[in-house]
Amino acid sequence: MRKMTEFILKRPIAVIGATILITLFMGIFIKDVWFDNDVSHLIPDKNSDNVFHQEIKDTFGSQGMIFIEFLRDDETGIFNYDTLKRIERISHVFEGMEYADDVLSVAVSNNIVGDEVGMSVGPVWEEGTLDASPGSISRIKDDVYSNPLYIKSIVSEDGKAASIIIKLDEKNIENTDDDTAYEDYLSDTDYYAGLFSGAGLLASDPVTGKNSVTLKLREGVSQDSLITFMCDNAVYSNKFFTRTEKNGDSYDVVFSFDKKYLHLLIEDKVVEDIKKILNEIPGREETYYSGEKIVNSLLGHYMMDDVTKMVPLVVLVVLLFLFIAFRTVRGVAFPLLSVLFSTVWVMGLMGLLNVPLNQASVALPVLLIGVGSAYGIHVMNSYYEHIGEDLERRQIIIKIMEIVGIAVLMAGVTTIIGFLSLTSSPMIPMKNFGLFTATGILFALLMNIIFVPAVLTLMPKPKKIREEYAAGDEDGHRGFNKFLSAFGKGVYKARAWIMVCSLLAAAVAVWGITKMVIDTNTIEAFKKTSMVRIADDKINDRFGGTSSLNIVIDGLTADMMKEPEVLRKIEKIQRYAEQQDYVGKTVSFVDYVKLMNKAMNNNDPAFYVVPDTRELVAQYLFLYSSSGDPDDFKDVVDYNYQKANILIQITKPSTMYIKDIVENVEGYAKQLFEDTGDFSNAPPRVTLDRIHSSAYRFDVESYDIGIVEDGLKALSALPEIKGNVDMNEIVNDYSELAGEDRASGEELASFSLIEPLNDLDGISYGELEGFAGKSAAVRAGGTSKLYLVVNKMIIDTQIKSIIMAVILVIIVVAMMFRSLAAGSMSVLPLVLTILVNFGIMGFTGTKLDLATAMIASVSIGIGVDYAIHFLTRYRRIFAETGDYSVAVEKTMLTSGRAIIYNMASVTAGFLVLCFSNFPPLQSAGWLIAVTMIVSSLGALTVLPTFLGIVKPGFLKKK
Amino acid sequence: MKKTMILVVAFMVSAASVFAGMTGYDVMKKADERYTGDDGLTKMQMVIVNSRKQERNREIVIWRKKVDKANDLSNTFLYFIKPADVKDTTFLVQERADGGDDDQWIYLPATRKVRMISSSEKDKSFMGTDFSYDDMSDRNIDEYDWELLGSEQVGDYDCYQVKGSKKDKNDAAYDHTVFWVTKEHWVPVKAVMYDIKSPDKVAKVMLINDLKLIQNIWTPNESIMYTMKPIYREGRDLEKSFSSKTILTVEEIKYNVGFSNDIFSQRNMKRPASYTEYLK
Repeated sequence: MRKMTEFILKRPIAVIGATILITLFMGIFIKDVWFDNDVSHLIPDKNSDNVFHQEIKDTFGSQGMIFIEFLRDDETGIFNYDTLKRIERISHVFEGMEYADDVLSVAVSNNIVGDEVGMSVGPVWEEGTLDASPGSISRIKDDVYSNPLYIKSIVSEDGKAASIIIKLDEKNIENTDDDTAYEDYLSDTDYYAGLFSGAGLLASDPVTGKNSVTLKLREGVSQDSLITFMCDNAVYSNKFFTRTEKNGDSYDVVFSFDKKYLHLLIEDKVVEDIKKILNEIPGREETYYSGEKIVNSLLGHYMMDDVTKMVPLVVLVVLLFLFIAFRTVRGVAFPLLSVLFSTVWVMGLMGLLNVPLNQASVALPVLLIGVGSAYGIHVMNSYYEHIGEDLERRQIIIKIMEIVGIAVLMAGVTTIIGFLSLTSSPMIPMKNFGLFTATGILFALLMNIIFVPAVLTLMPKPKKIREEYAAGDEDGHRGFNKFLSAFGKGVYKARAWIMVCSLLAAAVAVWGITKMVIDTNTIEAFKKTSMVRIADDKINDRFGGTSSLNIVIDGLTADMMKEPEVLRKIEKIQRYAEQQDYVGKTVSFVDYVKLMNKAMNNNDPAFYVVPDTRELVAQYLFLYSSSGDPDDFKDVVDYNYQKANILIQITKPSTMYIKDIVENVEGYAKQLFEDTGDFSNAPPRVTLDRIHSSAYRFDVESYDIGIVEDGLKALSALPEIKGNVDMNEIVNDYSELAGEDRASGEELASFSLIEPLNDLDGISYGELEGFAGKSAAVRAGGTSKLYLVVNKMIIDTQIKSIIMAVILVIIVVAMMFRSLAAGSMSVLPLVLTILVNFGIMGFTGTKLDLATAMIASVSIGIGVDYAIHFLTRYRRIFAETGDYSVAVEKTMLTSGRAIIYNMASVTAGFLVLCFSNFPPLQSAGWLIAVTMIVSSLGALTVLPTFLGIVKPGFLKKK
Repeated sequence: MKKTMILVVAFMVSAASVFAGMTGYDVMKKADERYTGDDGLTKMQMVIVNSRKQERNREIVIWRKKVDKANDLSNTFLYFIKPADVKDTTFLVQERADGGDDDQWIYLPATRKVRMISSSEKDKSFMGTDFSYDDMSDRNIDEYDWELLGSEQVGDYDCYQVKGSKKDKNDAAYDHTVFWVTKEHWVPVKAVMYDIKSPDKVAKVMLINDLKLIQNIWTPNESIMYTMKPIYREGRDLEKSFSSKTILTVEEIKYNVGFSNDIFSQRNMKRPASYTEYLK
């Protein structure tokens, strides 16, 4: 320590210069720090559920839906010309956006209806044909409600609300650099200006400003006709958002080039666009928007707000405490500067390494400033204590660093351990949070043992040294000292009571823990009054649910999803899922197949069922593909009809409920698809029709149909067959046919059946089921499932990181005191603290989630400092006096006071988190504050009590 | 100066030879009148690829015959071999002498019914491919305004570039189409179709990659129809921004087979004649 300090103090200017340079350099990268709240990024990429989530996205397209609700809660409802027209226009605008993979709404979603030649596929009304007559509107209403897929998806049951659903295509976005984007912008604006001028709408030539082009329209162009013109010509649907402005009696159309917009994440772009477009194309409806992706984006905005609000606050708090403690400029400035610098360093590092912040780690700067300032306090405290001594400036500082350096280092190391224990989490953001906070603490430490001493050597000795330092501890803070002394005595006297009380507290806490709720709920991460939460509630009131769960049925072979038996099972799963709490709607490929069947049978509702044969399904699809977009089913069935996706919409994104839904539905589906029994016990149900069609298929491949058909005739003549046969019988019959030659019989049978089966081309589900004993793999996925995974990881992490932190702390303390007993005793107050923390969470119903999961590790890391401080001083005094009572009292007067000061400032720092936008972070804030109080009290009471009772040997060692 | 003169002269000479008497209409007329056999029987692979590069494979046999030489009317009969569950599905197109829309029927074996298909919606996909009914049917070149844009090399071929816009916009599936017709064999080897709603946007692109001489008739061996994503801009890589594409590959083709007109009957739709006696 001494050598290092001497080294630094020889070249203070260089040290200060380097520190400032690094700070400036790191500062540049702070702007690169971004927010990432995608739940799939919380989980390691290789986690099997995450891999599966990506697979679902690859196969069925992005599952993140964005909902825009149009609510007209009066007797008119949404079935009126203006509302429908508004929905039509806005739907078309979003259809033209590059990020929109698919847009659903009453205006654009394809309906399947029967007509004289079969089925016709198309929107309820063609674009631009909307007619205001009551007859026409009521026909539209009838059409909409005759399609069950629309209900609770794009229209509410009561007809008061409709929605536009946007499905995002993250891969569709072209990455262009700013220059190309600007060129595109210029050519686009040129083109649109031409359009307006061609339509005779322009009053004058376009006005080109800096990054904006304004078209002045002639007077008399109505807003409605302008919107119509702009929608028809896809003027809104370009990547440089266009807006209209009313300018006296005429309108201006402004194309602005916003570089920032180009670089926004897709979800941020969507939010921006929704806001603007709802404003550009106005109407009388109340509008709300939500959806998993949007929630992520809004989380980002609120987080930004959190940082800008809480950082100044915590700086203020630290400032206040420093002022109370020192009342000098340097006493306030250096500890504050060192935490601010280290915060810049670590945030810059995150920007540099492209590590994003999330809902929990947004607390990092607040935490760092609050916790890190403690080291500065120690150093400055010692500085004022010794600076008055009659020594050369540099010598004094070397001495100070010798005294205080090791203590600060130890306190820092244990805190770093606490945060590092979070890296045992499999969750990357949790890991990063632990890692970077630990790094930040390290930086703060280095600032205080390198930068601050360097600056102090250059400063002249202060003219006025505060009396309490000059005069020593005893005279200052008389009242407080009296209290501390009495408190110390009391602790010794009441040691039995303390023992009993702490055991009692632990017991009560354990009882509380049993009541603890572990839940991740994205929406409840927002305040009740926040716009997102209101919107989400509104949408969930009338629609199927903004959270999604997928049940994927992965068939053994291609085309399996055309098998009626499979489709009926999927239908069963849907009906079962719909009975679960908070499931608002389910959608699957089956719903479309049933709709086609109904359409092909003159719209007879009796045919809203799964068709009887696979060929029927396949040929309906074939016919559909010639009138509708063949991609229409891509979110419910894969391109090869091998995998089906059952979309389950959930109205409450709480893992507590999702867990039940997943377990029940997944279990039910598995039972349906996988437990089909053993082949030997259940003979395959091969119908004669099937054999016939296999045989017929075979014929075309130019095998001898005659033999096969004769065989089939022989088979069907047998009275006991009639419908169901099994493989053995078929072989027997063919053998008979081939003149009792078993080998030829088998060959023939295989020709007619097994060969085509082996081809797996045209294989029937029934046959397959028989052969494989299992027909499909079932798995739940989707964002909701990922939240479950996150939830489980939070619990695992909790236990793991607590154990890790406790063990590491024991080791470090044991090494410091060269005694395992010291190590074990130092964690006693911490164990009590953690129990109390979880107990309080249990009693207050505070949920264990991403934010509150960090409390335990943080409180171990910081809390152990109190125990170390206490033990160090206690041991020294005990060694001098050999009296437990005196040791407690004296320790209380020295270290006790420091501990209480430190606790107060750190607690105040954490309480700043209560101003966060996120309830979970607020909870974390006050809970850590409570744990700080408990662990410091624990160190001051429980620790000496145990020392007095156990009388460990390390106290007597010198 | 001298060099410039030479260049100018060279340009004028080449321009003169290119445009020598040819109008856009003439080019398209030549292409239209190119002899493609009295009849033809083709077995082809049809691969539909989506933007995620997943494929759907189909195999079809196409019977095509000029049934009325005087009125230049052809009939087409399609028979699906693969996939198995649409096997035996057939499709019949008869051109009408009165110039009206073609008559089209489809037979779905599972429903055991021959259905007439409405042919009014020309821009609808043909059986889930990227070809629309309009793309598949014969073009009546008199219904278009043609404009010769110049000449351009497409792959190995020197081509005339001709722009065609339908005279009756209400009947058009595209705003306009630009064709590249080879000078050597009058085959359109490239076509770019522009969106009817926003005329500067490319809706689809058709490419013929391989011409083969079969029975003395230049035959496209592989043609690809791309449906472009709205974000596509001309000049960028087609393969990177299509929303779907259909590749037609000829497996076997025979011209002037001499099959009977009964092929183009509704009876043949239900129980189609075997093609195997003509093709492998």
